[in-house]
Amino acid sequence: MEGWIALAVIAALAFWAIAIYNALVQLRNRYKNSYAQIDVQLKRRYDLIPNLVEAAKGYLTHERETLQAVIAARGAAVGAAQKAAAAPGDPAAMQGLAQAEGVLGGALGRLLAVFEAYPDLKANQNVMQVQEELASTENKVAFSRQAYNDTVMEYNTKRESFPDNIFAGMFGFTAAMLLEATESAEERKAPKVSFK
Amino acid sequence: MAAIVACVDLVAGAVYRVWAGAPAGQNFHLATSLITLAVIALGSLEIVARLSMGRGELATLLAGRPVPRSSVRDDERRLINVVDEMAIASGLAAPPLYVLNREPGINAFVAGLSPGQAVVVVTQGALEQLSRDELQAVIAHEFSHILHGDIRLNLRAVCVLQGIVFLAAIGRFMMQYYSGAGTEEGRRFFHLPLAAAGIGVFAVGSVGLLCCRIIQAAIARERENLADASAVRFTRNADALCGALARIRANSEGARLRNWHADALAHMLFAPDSGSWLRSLVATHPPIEERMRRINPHVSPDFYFEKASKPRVIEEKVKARAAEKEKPRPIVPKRLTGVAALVASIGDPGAEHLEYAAGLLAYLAPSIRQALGDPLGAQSVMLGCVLEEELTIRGRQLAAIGKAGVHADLARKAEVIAPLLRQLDRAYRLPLVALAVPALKGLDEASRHAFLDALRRVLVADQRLTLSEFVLATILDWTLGPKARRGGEVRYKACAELAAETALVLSLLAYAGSSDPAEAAAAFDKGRAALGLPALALAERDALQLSGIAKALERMSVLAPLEKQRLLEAFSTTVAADGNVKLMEHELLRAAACVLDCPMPPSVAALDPRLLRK
Repeated sequence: MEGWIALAVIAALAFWAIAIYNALVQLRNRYKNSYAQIDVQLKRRYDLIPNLVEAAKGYLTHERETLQAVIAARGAAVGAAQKAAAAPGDPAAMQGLAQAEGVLGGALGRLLAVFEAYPDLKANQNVMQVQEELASTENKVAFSRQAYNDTVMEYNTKRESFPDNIFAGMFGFTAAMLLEATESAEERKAPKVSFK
Repeated sequence: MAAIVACVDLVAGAVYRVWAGAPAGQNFHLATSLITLAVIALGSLEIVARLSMGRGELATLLAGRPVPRSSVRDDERRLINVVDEMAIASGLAAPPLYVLNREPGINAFVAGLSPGQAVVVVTQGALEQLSRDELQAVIAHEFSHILHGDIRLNLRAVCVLQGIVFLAAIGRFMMQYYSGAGTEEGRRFFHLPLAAAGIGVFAVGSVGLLCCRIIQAAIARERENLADASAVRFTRNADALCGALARIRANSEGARLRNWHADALAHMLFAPDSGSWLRSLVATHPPIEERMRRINPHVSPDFYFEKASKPRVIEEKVKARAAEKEKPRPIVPKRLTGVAALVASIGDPGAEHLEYAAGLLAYLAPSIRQALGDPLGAQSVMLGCVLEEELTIRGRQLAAIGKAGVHADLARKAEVIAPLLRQLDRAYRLPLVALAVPALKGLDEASRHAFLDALRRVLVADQRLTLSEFVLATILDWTLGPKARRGGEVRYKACAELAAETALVLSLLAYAGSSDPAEAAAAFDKGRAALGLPALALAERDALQLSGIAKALERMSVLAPLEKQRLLEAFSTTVAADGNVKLMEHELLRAAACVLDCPMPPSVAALDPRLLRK
């Protein structure tokens, strides 16, 4: 009689462990997927920027430095991305990529702010479309980062909660890293808007 | 629901006892319960059938228009971008979108049975009056409904409700029918027990309905709170959602939907219609102030109301000045606008493309503009494009037009308009085709045939077929002729089966890009690599015959669709190989895309033909 009870208990424990394992696997794959999605949005941003700058060039003849800063930052970011792709997992390459991304984000933010300073520019339909696309691209990059952090949070929470943390270490589930803000000195620079 | 069934049992039992003078047996109660359940189930089934209509039908029921992903309207573009951003943040796929045209109120809802089938419907008032962030908050709220399965939950609740409504309706019918209804004939149907039963069932049904409604409303309110919280989580912006709610309050139309179907969908909306006091019990949404306090406890709702009462500054858009004759400015290359949009739309022009044609039309001479408006004039413009300048050749061409079975005036009109067309930049030729096609499509079968015949004769008459004439003829043939109505027939499954034809077209594109043989070879190699067919050989420049090209394109038109797309990508790789796209290459690519019935690759499609080198 006791034998059957012991067997039942062991079977229940085994099923429980399997359920926890599967749940952790699911959450881990989810956060890995969200990490890959960030790259998708970044690549889209790289592809979009030359066209947008081209469109804005005609109207922003006085803002040459801002436009050039954006182009230069994009070039640097593309280079850093290629380096990181060539050496995945290399912390120096990832750091370089994060920094280049930060610089690019700052430059684009300044370009958007510059649009605000030109009222007749804002009224032009083409430029408004350009602005909308720019803003949307930046938002998409930001939201994909946010989604990544959310999925990492779910994974870590499950991994560290009480019954699950017993098995998590056993099955080899390690903590995932949240994306911290990658503010460089460039990004922190406030955009200059002059009221001429 | 069990209570309802039990009540109905009791009523039926009482009636039976009174009627038959003996207490009802076990079987009787069982039978009554089953019948009651069956009646409720019937009512539910009916509403399920009605509500599980496809998502498009639901939106069309409320007079909505679908929003295509390639839309060029600013407000729709903004909506599409906002929905895409929310899809990224929430991890859902972006659902199809509909806009309710005639609704000035601000509201939104989701329809569809499962996340995969969901659609999001937004009112036109919401598009116009909410700021970008506020619109995003509303969309996030709707997304959370999809995410948390609220659609299904509400659907079930509505089904049960309808079942009970059906029961109550039957009760009322019995009551009225068996009570004789006052007329002489009616007295025949007088039957007290059944009438009493009817009253009983009706009463039970109505009370049951009220109770169910209260329960359902309570559940719905909680789900709304959950959706609000999720919306704030996705957008990380509590202000935006409060702002949207405040704006609904400030709007004179509020969240009211004019369409009379809206009542049935009240539980699905973002905000409720302004209701009466009785609604507070059966309200499916919490009151607006309460929602705002929950979303942002630190800020009083009055702050948002005040902000919303100030009218939003709508930027004045500068319309293209049609009176000026200056050349239109270079147009944004990335999104298909203006000229690029026109070129891309060859074959199936849409209303939006014609809107953008306004800028181009303003630049054209008035006579050309006028001619493009009617079929005869459009034909004359097309023929005028290919009329030669030299007198003798032109004479032959005009005679050839006369021989074809077209309108008698056509030759003269073409001759008159030809000099004006010659003044236009070559780059405008394809946009002109795009502008002419809508009018040409107004011709009937026989006239189209005659026009294409005339075109062919004219091209033959000058005894020399240039590449650009070939492009023009191909595009018109495949857009207007019998080939335009080809079905989706597929005769070849892979590019490899059409190796010789592919080599021919790739060679043509390579030579069109550059006269230097080495560069042409390099471009050809790139295209070959893109297709993964290393066996293709660059043809001799002199050996390229346009008739052979035409046949090759025709064969390619019956290729499998995915292969066609690959083919077009390979063509555009060849074209872009040397880093710049010539006008001729762009036109050839456009002709290929027209024959293959495939959209041009966006990077090439977005190029403004006027900025390309000749």
